[in-house]
Amino acid sequence: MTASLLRPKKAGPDAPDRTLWLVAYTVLTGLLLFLGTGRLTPSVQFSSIVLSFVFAAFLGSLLLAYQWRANGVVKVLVGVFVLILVVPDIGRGNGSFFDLAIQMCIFAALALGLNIVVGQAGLLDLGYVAFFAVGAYLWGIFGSGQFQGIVKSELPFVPLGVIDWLIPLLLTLAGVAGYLWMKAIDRAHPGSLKPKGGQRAARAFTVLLIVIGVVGVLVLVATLINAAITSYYNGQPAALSALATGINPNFFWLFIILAVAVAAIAGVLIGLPVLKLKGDYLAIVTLGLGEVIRVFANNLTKYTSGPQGISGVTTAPVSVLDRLAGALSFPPEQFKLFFLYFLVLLVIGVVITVNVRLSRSNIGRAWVAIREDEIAAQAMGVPLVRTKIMAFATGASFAGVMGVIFAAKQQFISPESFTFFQSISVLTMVILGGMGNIAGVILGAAVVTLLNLSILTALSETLQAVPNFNSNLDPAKYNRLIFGAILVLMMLFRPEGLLPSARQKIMMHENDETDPALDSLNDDGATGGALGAGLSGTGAPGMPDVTSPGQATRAENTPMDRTGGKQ
Amino acid sequence: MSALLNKAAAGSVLSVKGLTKTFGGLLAVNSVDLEVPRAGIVSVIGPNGAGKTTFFNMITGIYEPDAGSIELDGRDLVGLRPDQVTAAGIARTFQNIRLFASMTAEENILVGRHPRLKAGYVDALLRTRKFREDEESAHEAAAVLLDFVGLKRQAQELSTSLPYGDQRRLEIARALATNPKVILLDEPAAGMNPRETENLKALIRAVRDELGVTVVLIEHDMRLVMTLSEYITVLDYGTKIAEGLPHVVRSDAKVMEAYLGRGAAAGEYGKKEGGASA
Repeated sequence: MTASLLRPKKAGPDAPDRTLWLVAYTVLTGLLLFLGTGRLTPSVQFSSIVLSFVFAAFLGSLLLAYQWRANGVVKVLVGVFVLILVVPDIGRGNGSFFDLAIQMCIFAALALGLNIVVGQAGLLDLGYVAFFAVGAYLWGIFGSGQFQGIVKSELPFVPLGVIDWLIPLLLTLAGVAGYLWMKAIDRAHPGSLKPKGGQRAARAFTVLLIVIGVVGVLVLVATLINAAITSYYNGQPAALSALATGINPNFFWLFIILAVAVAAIAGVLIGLPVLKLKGDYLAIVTLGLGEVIRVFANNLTKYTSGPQGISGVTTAPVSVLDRLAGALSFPPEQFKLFFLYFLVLLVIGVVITVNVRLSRSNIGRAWVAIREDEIAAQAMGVPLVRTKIMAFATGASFAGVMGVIFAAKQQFISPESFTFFQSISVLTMVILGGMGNIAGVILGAAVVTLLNLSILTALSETLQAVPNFNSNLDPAKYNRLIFGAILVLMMLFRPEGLLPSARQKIMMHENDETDPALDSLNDDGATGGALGAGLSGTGAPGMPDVTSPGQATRAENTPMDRTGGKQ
Repeated sequence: MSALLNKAAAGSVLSVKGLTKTFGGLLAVNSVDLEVPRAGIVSVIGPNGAGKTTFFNMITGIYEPDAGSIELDGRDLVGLRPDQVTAAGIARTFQNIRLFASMTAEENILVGRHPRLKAGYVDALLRTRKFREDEESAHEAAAVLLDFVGLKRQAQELSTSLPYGDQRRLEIARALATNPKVILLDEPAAGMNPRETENLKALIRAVRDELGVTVVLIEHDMRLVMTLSEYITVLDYGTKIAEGLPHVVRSDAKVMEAYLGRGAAAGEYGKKEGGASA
């Protein structure tokens, strides 16, 4: 596995055919895995640490199938063998492998989503996990007893008075009227509204009025819906008690779709105000907004149970799969994992398809163009904000779906799962694997998840078993240190990642010729820039030279942001 | 001359009136007018810092002018974003080449097709017929344009690995991919050797003659400007100081003063300048 990692070049048509090697490798590691888990002879069992590596090596056959030139049918067979036959079978004996495989897929999808935002569009998003949280809480609240608790609580304030509605509506109307009035004056007597700065401030004020008014109306509508639902259930005790384990679990399917929409909307809402920023500034603001969502989860106790978290999250019952699992002599407590495993495989297939199709379209080209040079992209007719929002929303929707599945798998969610560190781990996966490259990103997710959940914990266990060993030296507790070290080492020695995309490789190579030390870090707009700045410690300006004399980006729809070079 | 001016008045494709921009206290462009005749080649010249690029940046929507109007075929462009200006039919190249570094020559041109593609997000996801037709037409257009600028064989090469002159040509092809009515070239000959400049001259003529695209040039290479342009506008300190046919502008006292300084314009250097630009 390592040998091929060092040479990540995808085999060309002239590479030797390695079909036999692939089959041999897969069968061999598969046998080892079977042996190690005691499925061949119960007398032989590997220790957990050895087993972790064997499992990793076995999954490596997928990577080899991707990298090597081999018979296409054999490649597909290897994929089916590994993913459909062996992993579930190993999972039957040892549920932790099932769990691990599902986690890997979840994080692979997250990394693929972040890859669109960071790797393709070049927008460094440090609050990505917020969208994961949105999906997880969406299903967490409705798919558990939490919803009953919300409905049971006392009737909220019911805004039915005229005054309640009049205030926000009047604010909106005043804002709209003011805006239109100024526009009319401007059209009738161009240039008469002076000074220009004052006019902009006045226009911004009218927009603010509209925003406050609209938000007010939305809050009122939400309160009203909440009140309506509450009063409905309070009138129907039977329906209320049926909510003890959440709404009908079959809604799970609906919520998967819903999560796509809700997370995408969240992406648009968060994206709209912040996407005018670039590079490091964007990173800081997204970091803050990511934390805001977590703080919401922590403090909206009525809805999220706060730091206690929500437990007892259910999944959809799929009787067909349950019966199949039963027939394959899976223990009943693993039916859920069995179902979720295949669901997650399906979702990741969809995610990869979406990713590939978008990146090979005018939208994907526009993303790369924006990453390379915003001004030139805009001059070629690419609408900046809209295209960036598309990237943000697409990435967010992947996270939203996986949030739902994550909540269903864990059965428990709390704000702990959606910390800043999670965002950084996902970013680590993207960078480690190879920014911009789908296979690389999946590899990165697999490696980080394996390290995190399997290898490091197994290593800890092994070390704890050593007599007289310092119990403070617990690798699982040092995972942040280890990932930090990985990030630093990657940026220094292999900034393009383990499996770089063709573009990244070329870019990095180009830089080698000019100024290897500086350029490879400061290159590539947002991502390289911010990371470069972080690495150099002094906060070196990582911004690329985008504003040459006399040229500045013009933020869409805002009259403000017109700084930049002056001639 | 009068015939050409009449033509300008009758069929101007781009009409700029009273364009003004200040940066703080600096008056970068002061009430500049420009009429660009359809299918003409027009140059804007002036010493460094005269406000030429600011003028371009206002036309292409990068800056919003403080006053003045910009009309393309009667449509007001003031207040549009750069991408909307491009969609309306004005394309540009940059003083310092701004190709998309990690993309091949062909991909650069494909990005230029962006405003002309109708397929949206959902089309790209579902690979609808609209999307496939769009992609096909974009690739065809890219092939035609690469051939037009003589980079057919370099289509799959990385844009930044092309020689300097080819990068300039590729940038022009990328701008042409947006199907513009008017193409603004910001110092296209900067840094070119004489042979490359000759090729560029032929290319700019072909853009006008074969594609019928109106050309507006900012250029310092006087030989190129004088032989290529049909009409010249001279800016200095943001103000238009002269305009007219090349031979008129060349002998204009104010222009010589702006380029060479007071006094020098009247003496020896004036002749030299005239000789060099012939």
